[in-house]
Amino acid sequence: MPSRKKDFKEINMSLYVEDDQLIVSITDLDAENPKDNLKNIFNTLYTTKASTQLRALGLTNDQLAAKDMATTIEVISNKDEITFFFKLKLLHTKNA
Amino acid sequence: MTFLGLIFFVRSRLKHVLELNKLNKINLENKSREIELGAQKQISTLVKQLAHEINNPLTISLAQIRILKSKMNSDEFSKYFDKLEASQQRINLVAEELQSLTSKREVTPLTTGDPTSEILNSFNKIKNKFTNENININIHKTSCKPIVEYIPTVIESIIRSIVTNAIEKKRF
Repeated sequence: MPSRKKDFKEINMSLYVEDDQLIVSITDLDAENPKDNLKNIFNTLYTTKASTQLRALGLTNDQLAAKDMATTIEVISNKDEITFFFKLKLLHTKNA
Repeated sequence: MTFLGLIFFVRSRLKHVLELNKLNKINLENKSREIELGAQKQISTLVKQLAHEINNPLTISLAQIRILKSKMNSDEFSKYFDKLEASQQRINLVAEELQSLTSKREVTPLTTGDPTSEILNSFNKIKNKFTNENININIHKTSCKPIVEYIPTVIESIIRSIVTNAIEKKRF
């Protein structure tokens, strides 16, 4: 299988319904050391970026915002991929 | 008191105690909700004050550094000033986010409806924003209309933040 080393960023964004939940998933297909970063990712002031000018509370802030919608942001990693999910409880569905 | 009378008396007392218990439980729940709301308000005020206290001296020192930088126009010092300025801007961002954090906690009414169009709109906005960055975004739609409780602006901000985080990490 050829190596997936690329000079561009590939991101998959999905929206689907599963198990009475509306799921929004965002997968970063070129994450660097996703497993190492996973445990700290929602910690306040944690950043993997070298630049000091970037947002510091990004994901902490998002996790709190998700709680306002009675949900949480979940994150899983697989090799060099990292996927963020947030799931909203389905009240009901209508046919499009 | 007859035996029957005693039974009625005990029954009525028992009913009274059970009602009192129920009322106490409701009172306790209301009280704890009040305490929780009070604590949230206090934390929110503290965080706002903290952000303000960070911002004030920071603005002054940032201005002084810019003056020094313009007066000491040498390459030798320039890199140190740049580092100082960058660190201060980061603290500034933290203070700004602390402020936005507390304001978001206060007004966030939930909307009941189908968020599909808002989410796809956010996906497309991101896709358009990063067209020149060689970033490939694949969108998978859902075919039914899901009805959920959500906050439109929050959904958009979470999506934007996650994607921007990933992209900025690569770029810097």
